[in-house]
Amino acid sequence: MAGLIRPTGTVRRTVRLTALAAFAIGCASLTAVSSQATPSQAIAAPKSEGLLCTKSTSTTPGTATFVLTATTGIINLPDGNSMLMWGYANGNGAFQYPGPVLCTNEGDQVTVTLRNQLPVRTSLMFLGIDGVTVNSQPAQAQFSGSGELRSLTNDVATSGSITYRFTAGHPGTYLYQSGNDPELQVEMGLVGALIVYPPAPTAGELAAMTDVPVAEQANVRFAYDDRSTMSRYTSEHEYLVLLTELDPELHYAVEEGGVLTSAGYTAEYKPRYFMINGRSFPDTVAPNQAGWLPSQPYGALAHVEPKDASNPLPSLIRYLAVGGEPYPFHPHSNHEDVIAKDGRLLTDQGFDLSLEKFAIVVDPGTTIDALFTWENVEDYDAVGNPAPVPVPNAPNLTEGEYWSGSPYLGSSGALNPEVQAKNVCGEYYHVAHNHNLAEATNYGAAFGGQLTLIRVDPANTATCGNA
Amino acid sequence: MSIHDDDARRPLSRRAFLISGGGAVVALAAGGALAAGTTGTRGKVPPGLRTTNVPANVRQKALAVTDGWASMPLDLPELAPYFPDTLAPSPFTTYTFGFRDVTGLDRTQVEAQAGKAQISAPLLEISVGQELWVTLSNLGLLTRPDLVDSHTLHWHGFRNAIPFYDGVPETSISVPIGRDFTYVYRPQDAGTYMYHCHFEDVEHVTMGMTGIIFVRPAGHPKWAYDDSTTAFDREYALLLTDFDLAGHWNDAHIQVSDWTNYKPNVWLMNGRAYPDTLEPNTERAAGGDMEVPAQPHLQYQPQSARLAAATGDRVLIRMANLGFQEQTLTMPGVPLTKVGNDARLLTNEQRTVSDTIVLGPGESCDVLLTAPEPGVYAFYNADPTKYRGSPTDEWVGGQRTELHVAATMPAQSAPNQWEPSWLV
Repeated sequence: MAGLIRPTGTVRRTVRLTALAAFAIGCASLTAVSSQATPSQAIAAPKSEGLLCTKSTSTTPGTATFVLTATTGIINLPDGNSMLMWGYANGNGAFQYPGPVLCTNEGDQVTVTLRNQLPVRTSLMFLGIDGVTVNSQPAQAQFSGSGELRSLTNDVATSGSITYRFTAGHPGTYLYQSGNDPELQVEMGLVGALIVYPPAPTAGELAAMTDVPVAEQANVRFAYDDRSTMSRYTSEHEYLVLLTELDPELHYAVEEGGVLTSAGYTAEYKPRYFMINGRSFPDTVAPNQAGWLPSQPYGALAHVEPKDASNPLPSLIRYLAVGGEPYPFHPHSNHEDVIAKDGRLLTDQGFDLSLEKFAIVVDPGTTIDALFTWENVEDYDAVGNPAPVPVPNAPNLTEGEYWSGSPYLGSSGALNPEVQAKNVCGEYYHVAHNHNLAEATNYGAAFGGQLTLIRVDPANTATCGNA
Repeated sequence: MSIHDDDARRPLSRRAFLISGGGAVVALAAGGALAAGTTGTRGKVPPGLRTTNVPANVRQKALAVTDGWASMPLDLPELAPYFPDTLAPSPFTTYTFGFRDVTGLDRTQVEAQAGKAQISAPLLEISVGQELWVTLSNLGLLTRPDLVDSHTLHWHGFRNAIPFYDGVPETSISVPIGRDFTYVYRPQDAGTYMYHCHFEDVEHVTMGMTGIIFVRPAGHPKWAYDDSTTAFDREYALLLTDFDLAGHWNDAHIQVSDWTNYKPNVWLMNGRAYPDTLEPNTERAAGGDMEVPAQPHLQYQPQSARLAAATGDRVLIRMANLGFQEQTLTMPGVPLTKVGNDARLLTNEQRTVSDTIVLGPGESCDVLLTAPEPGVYAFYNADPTKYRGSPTDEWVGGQRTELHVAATMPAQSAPNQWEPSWLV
């Protein structure tokens, strides 16, 4: 069994305190900044949770400009391992995994310049985007002198740069990735998300939304051009779930063995780490831009309040996947309403084909957009509506670290002192995870990998930081 | 009121547990016999069937969780030592964890089921408007007394769940050995769901702690959803799972598995691989043990995967996948109309008609077919790499079953029911 994690020169840190991540969950709600998307704004303020946009550097309306630098870096895994990666830095910024979330507006003339600091040729593909050009010519596959496919699109040699242009024609969620030797380069980390936002609601559209309280109207967004409720969500709760996997032996082969192509990696491909937004659980629930994950800026904690008349809008979750096989993602607590695939709303001749799912199978190279709400249907309450079967007495149960000690939202009970309690204010936690459970592990250790948490806070509660 | 359970009948002292479970382990080690535990303080109170504050619309079920042995129909020397497991008592081959339906048994009878897990888990059903209360009793693992795992019940897909009744040990509570806990469900949405233990989920799920639970619409027991176009005459529930037999062997032999090495070598329908899929259903016998069927190796795999119908019958197949792989099943020549997916009714525009169904891990679907002319119609995994085969039959060990159609057939009185005398 190849269960050994080889120590290498890249191990930056051997012990990580999961308590640190737990503390971070508690802090997150206190520091959350509502910043998402007036889509036309240039730079979003950092926020600790939710999709973190990288905005265009262009100040010219109707254009979006990005510079991505393909370079090397190191990421940390929750079991103390670390890994050499290839990835995209934002301009002259630091290496990160996955690449920056490129946020654009529908109709933008988008310019993305790729600078190559890798030891191999590389390139950028924008999956699902039509009309990409390089030097005013349609981007197209490149062949070596002997006729072998070198890249699926125009590529660039080491130390060079290349510029791709396209029009952000359709709102939606898209992948960008390397088109050179993707079997190696995408696995090494050359992948990221591109978002195209439709126009925000007009004043007239907002005025017609009688179901949305005035206080919430500034947050109303549509994910697509359809202006019905089908793709309507709140910009306060927009989440990225970019699913990837890593075979550590491949990364060691690149770092130590001089391997630069997939043909040079002769061992059997065996992914051992499974990531959401470049992190494995429990790192997935740490805040965006957590200081102890310097190269992995994107968290995956979903943090909501129950749906009610004052909070009627769903969250939007943008799923993307690259990897060896479909990832069947299972959100606990409620179905998610799948409204779009690959940047196209699920409608046909006026029929709404969206579907509420409890297993969202994300195929490699595809994206899915889904809406999520959680409603406190039973509204159990210790006084007026107690849970029919109460909490067992202390010796008769095993308690989880995220358990509040109480069935009731906003209530807490004492836990066994040996439990490292991570609950803050009686909030609910639900897991959301890959249901190929071998991939909800860190190198085989359960409760890791492609797993994150959905945190449900009681509404307007000071101890939860959202009064 | 206290949020804690002050029901005095439930606690079992550590000493009482050691007497019961510990005694059984000693007896197994000594002679293979399973000793019935004695509990003293709990007497004959049926576990799980709560008596106080139970509304009239509650249906109660009692499930026990433990380990056990099952049989796979493989004949492949290259799987040694993992298969057959030399620790397995005859006629079994493979170590499992699983659930048992112990509803109505007394405490002594329940505790006598330690070490007698079944796969798949008992088929559970409830109707909208009813409540389902399921009490889970943890009987421990007879073959692995060193593993003091708790267990849980996770109703996969239950809408607007609260953590308390969701069965995720890290976000809720779980049930230690010798204890029980009652999960309360008030389902509002018809459809096909599944349930499984979420404790050490990758291990407990693939060891066999998986089953189907479905919800009928109120007032229409013969509709899949609250929609007349989903009416059916017969219904079958098929749970798809896959096993890497090395993982089962490792658990029996106190070895640790790296689950990222997971590579299945047997693919199951209702806990059985072909040709066992075609054998009849079996029941629990009086006294609480599983009856010994004509094929005694299937004593702890009681659920048939064979489908049977009369020509013209509308047949509902409720399918769920709790394996770790996406599967493609096909019934060539028989149009399958997908009317539900993940316990949601599909609109006319969303329905698909095909002889092939693709189902990912954790996904469910509801399929309707109209039984064709009398005959035998194969229903099988279309991926030929998902059969290890035997020297005499290439389909052995895979997800393969049959729809038997007769000109006439007695009515079904329970899901999955068919009798050998119904087949012609």
